[in-house]
Amino acid sequence: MSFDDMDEIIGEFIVESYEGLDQLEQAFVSLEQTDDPDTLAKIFRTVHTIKGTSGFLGFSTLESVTHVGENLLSKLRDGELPMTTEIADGLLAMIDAVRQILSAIAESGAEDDTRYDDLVATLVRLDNAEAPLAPVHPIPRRRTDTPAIEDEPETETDQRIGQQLVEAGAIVEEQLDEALAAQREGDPRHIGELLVAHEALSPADVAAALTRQERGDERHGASETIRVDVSLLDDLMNSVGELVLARNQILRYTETQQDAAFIATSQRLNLITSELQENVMKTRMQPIENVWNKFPRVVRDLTVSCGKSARLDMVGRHTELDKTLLEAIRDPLTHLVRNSVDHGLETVEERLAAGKPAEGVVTLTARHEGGQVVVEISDDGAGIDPVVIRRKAIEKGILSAEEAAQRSDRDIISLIFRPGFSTAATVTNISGRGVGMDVVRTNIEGIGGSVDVQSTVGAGTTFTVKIPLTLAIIPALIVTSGDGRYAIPQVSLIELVRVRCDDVEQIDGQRVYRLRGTLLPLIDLNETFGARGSGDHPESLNIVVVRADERVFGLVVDDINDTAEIVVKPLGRLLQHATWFAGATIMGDGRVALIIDALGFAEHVGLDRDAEQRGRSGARTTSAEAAEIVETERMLVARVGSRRFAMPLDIVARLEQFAAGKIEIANNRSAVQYGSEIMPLVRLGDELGVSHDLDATMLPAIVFNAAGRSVGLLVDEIVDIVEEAFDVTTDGHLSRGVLGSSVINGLVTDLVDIHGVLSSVLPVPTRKGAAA
Amino acid sequence: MTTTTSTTTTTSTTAGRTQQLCTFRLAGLYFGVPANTVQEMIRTSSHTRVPLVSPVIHGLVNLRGEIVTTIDLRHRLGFPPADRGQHINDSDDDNSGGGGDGDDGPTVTTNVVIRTGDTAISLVVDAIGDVITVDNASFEAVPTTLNEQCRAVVDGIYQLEDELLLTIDLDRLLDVDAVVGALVAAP
Repeated sequence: MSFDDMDEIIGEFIVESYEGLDQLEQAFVSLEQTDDPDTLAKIFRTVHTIKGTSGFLGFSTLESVTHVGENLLSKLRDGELPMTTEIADGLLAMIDAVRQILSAIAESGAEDDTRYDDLVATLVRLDNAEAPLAPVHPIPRRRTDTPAIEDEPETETDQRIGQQLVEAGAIVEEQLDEALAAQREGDPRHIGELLVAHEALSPADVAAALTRQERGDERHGASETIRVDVSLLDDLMNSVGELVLARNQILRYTETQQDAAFIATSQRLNLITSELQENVMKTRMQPIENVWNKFPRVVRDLTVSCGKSARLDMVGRHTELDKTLLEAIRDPLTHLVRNSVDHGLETVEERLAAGKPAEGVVTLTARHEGGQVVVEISDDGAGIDPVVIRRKAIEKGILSAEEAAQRSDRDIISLIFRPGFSTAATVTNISGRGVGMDVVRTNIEGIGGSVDVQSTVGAGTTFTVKIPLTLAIIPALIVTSGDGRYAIPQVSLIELVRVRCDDVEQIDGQRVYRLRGTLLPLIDLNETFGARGSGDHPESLNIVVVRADERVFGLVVDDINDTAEIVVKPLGRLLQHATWFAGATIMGDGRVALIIDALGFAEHVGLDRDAEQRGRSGARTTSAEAAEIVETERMLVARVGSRRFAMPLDIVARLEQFAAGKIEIANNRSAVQYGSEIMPLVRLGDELGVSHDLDATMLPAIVFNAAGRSVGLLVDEIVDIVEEAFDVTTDGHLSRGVLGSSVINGLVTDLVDIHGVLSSVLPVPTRKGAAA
Repeated sequence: MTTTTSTTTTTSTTAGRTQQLCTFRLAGLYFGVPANTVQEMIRTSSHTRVPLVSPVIHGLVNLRGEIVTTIDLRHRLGFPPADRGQHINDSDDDNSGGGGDGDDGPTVTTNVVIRTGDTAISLVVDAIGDVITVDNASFEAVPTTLNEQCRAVVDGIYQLEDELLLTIDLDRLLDVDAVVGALVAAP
């Protein structure tokens, strides 16, 4: 067998062992509470596989460590020993040792010189300890003088491996019988070892057979999945990114074309590309439990060292996100969990004194929300006291006493994310050094996410982490400023507004707009970027309302173009310092557009927090007035092509769905037999100049009642019903049939002018009251 | 060009006496960079301006899906901006730095694309010259008559039959601090 083959086998062994251990991480921690025989059997099998393979591969330290662990586990599994904290500690230490040895092997291809004699001795002692109570099952015969061999199940396993090898054609039946006979005669070696000794097969074959056997145990699940190198997936993702760009380019070209066949083909290309993109993204998706699995152990170890009692609840562990992002949030999340136990939860005495159950609860929740993954880490501890933070902030000179008094509790609590701000009275070895929360925030923001904290004194603290699903391809709004086009990532968008120039005010030299009672600082993109504007003074301004951190500001742009899926490409090393750009992308016409980084931009233009603070206090004084202007309305959100549209729900009579074949053309208009009447249909996309999906067999229709008859509005999909405050500006329509735009669930959504859209089929105006 | 490059690289390394250089003209001077560092020469009008950065950064250009930073070499070497109306093709045209900007509209630029490591950087030049083989024996130190910014990146000159060829040290040329720092130096 060549050296390369061996390397490959070792590599595979390491990967599989890690996988096995990762899957078990949680089982280990629950060991103490449950003596579920299934869990024990699962752990036993994994450890047994590692032991077996390491024996064949000649990793003697690993073999000896796992061997004693396995013995102990088999006794636990068979109920011969009850589970104790000591045993659990011993087993956890064994798993740590196994990981250490595996990482040494992964690095150098061989075990290092670390000895684990103490651990082995401890495990042997635990193993040999007399069961304090009568064992549930009678102790089966056990040849303690030959610890290398197992009892009955092992022989069974050996037989199964033998069969496997015969089936795989590695050996013939006779060789197996011979070896089994030798075993019956008292040869203490494993079947594989015997066969290798008889030169019937190579160690690699045995290792492979062991692997197959283990996989076979998992109900032949192996054929359903294949192992793929992550770098291959990265390449695939890059190629798809390029494809998306090429697709965008073709779609743009299609707009100028008349050829029906070409248009149909490019639409198909569009659909296939989207599907491919989605699927490739899925291949990189992993459940968040891959990171969470470590946490029960983290919490357990921490509670032991802090003298606290805590339970970790996990909700939504199957929520998936991109592997790269998952890796990126591993450390920040670990820190937050540690923080919750260390700082958040009180000691048992304090809890009892406060009338809480002795055991604290840390809850992890993950869910998808508006194209993002939201992870919450909450504890039912003492909460963060704003009074303490205020005092600290004044002590450290971060705020003046006056400022501290002015700020809201919420603002004060978010000070914990400031560098060097630690609230721990004492520095523990876990946290409290004043580094950490700022790093957590930096790391999470580095991947386009955000972190927020809410806390109630006495009731607990919740950290909310929001992260994008993927990094490579993001939805963004394309705007024009002067000679350039810029992409603004959808995550930092709040809404789009169009206002009359006369409504813009000046406060302390800062241009502001009173948006629903809040003072919104305005930044002119042309001015900032030194671009020459169009020269003429328009009557109204396009404002993109952007959030950076807790700062909200309005970017004044020349034009708001469209939303697009963009592929983020990094800027070269010469532009690394330009933090106001998050990267660049290639547009449909092949030109490069820069992606604006809201946070970096806000910092660069020196949008100071004070101005924004004034904006907030302004908001408070006028909030009563604002409440009058804004009324939330329930909106129906529908999709046509790649765009989303909203309309007030209370003018909608019904939602229907029609088979494409049922729709007839009558009087040069689409219509459908609806009850006893012929209902005219309007394709929303046709009215607004947006392409509908092709090949749809069932068409959703929104039915309106107007002047005693029904009119149907065809869309591609009914998305949602949301409660949303729409800022409807009546001057300067964004485009035909659209009254305004807002961001709903993270996506730009246009408010449809239903009256305008339906006017072509009904001369009678559709009124709000008509539906009632 | 690529073929020539690869064959001659071998020659130059084995012989050690001659070297192949890609040449171009800028502000009336004749420059060369090692041919094996040059990926290609392109002409393009689709630069995207990068606001708020050093004027040395001419912009970004899409090179077959890769976003390449382009450097205004005249600015980098301390020469005045070129007259925009110039014709790029006549390589012998002596474009000494002409005056101010012409009118707007897409400016076609001639670019020498340099491959360093796994990234490409493009240099905006006045005109492209030939790939020539030079004899290392004719290599001399940088003349003191050059301006300071230019001397900082030119590592020497070759005496050709009818003119002087200045060779550029790409590491020094593309040094991040020098490029970014030019923001401070520039008015």
